[in-house]
Amino acid sequence: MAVAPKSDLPEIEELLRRSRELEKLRQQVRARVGRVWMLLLAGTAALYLAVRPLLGPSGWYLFPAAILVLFFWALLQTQTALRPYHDTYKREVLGPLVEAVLPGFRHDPGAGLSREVFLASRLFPSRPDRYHSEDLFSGRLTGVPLSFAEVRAEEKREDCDKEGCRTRYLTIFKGLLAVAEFPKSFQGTVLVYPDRSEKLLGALSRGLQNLGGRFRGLQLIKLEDPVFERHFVAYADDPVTARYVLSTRLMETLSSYRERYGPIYVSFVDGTLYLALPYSGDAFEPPPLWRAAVDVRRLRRYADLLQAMRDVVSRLQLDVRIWGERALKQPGASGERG
Amino acid sequence: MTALLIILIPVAIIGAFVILTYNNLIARKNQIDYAQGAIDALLKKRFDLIPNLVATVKEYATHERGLLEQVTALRSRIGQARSDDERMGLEGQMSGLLGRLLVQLEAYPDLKANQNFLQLQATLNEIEEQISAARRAFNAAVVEFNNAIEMFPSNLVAGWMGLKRRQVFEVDESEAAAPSVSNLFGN
Repeated sequence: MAVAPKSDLPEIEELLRRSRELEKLRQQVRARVGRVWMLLLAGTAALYLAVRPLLGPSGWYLFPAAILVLFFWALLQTQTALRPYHDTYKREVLGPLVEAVLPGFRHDPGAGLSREVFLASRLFPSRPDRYHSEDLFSGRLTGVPLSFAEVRAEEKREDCDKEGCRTRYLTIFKGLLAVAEFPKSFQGTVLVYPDRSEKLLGALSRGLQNLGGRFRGLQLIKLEDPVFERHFVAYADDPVTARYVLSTRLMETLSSYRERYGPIYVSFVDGTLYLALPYSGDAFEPPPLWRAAVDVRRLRRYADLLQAMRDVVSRLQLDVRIWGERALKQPGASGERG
Repeated sequence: MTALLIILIPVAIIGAFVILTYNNLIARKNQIDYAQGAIDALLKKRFDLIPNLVATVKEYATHERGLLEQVTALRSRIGQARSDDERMGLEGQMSGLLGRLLVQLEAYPDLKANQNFLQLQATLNEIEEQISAARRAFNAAVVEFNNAIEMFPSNLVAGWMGLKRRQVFEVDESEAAAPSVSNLFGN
């Protein structure tokens, strides 16, 4: 994701003031984790010295196993020590930050978006072999229910040679995935991807994009907005639906987002909107233990990420539902009169 | 053998080019027909909704009688249109007129509380958006088609097929004009 403009959040200063307790907790946890690893080192040294006199030469076989047990014990202790720190960070620091940027939103650090939601977006053709989602944010933005979470989807690859096979995981997508109700009711699929090939390959990219469309069972749609066309490539199962969904205003919004924040993937599937914002770091996590608990730059980065999501969804004007259920639920529209 | 190959290879290349270009031009022509079909279907849907709208609105919006009469008369002219061009022109006028009517009707709170009217308003707005999308798809298909039949070398095959340049949809001036607030208040 491109560097976003710095958010001007006075709440961060307030968070810094409130973070003294967290800083104390961090120091306690750091000390405890330090003790655990010191114990591991001491235990290893003691075993090394004791194994031969006590067990003789056969003791060397037990030595690695004992080290392994000690190592897992240390890991477990570290995890146990870190958990309250992580929870407190998310509650005391991220909670107020979310409230400042997205008022009324609920942050559930342990929950995420399901693999089914990821697949339903149709944005990424590969089926993930390893999928993890956490930090679910849910609430209503300008009257529209919106949920988004951090997602990491990976695909398994096996590299085989004379020495054997090795498994590695390739990232399909890492970043924020959002799902919201789209105000226009329609049946069909429209996919919008950042256009990377046109800059590199020029006219040749059209042929590749056509192939990409066929691979997805959709057709390449060339839209009228040249700025949008420069930034994005769109596929749909029907050109009329594509233009119905991608109004000129929506195309402008996506182009300005692209120019301001960086790449964005968007899909519209049977009346549901999916947004995917790639992000390389591990968002919404506390800094490492050896760094101060509240790092302003890190918090600004998180705030910018939340703001980017808020901006794009509010600028899509998802609340402007001029037909359908919501229009009929307007105050004063509940019954017939006259 | 070599002489035969020298003749066959160019013939095969030309044959492949003609077949591919022919299919490509037919696909582009069909895209225009598809978009045209979508526009026609939506216009028909709107045409069928207008009597309901007039019937719902006339009890409430007594001051808009003139506008409602214009809508009814225009609908009847659309029904009697003799050519596609004439019909499309009248449909363009209908879009402008319906837009004006819906804006005027905002001033009637009783009407805005009528569930039936809200449903109609919502459906009409949706149809207008769909018509606009279908027109954009139609224009995009026409531009691609026109480019294909005018550019070399596909123009050679297009000429042989007797394909002619198509007109893009142009917005009628009355339809393109944004509703004027001063007009709405009769100034």
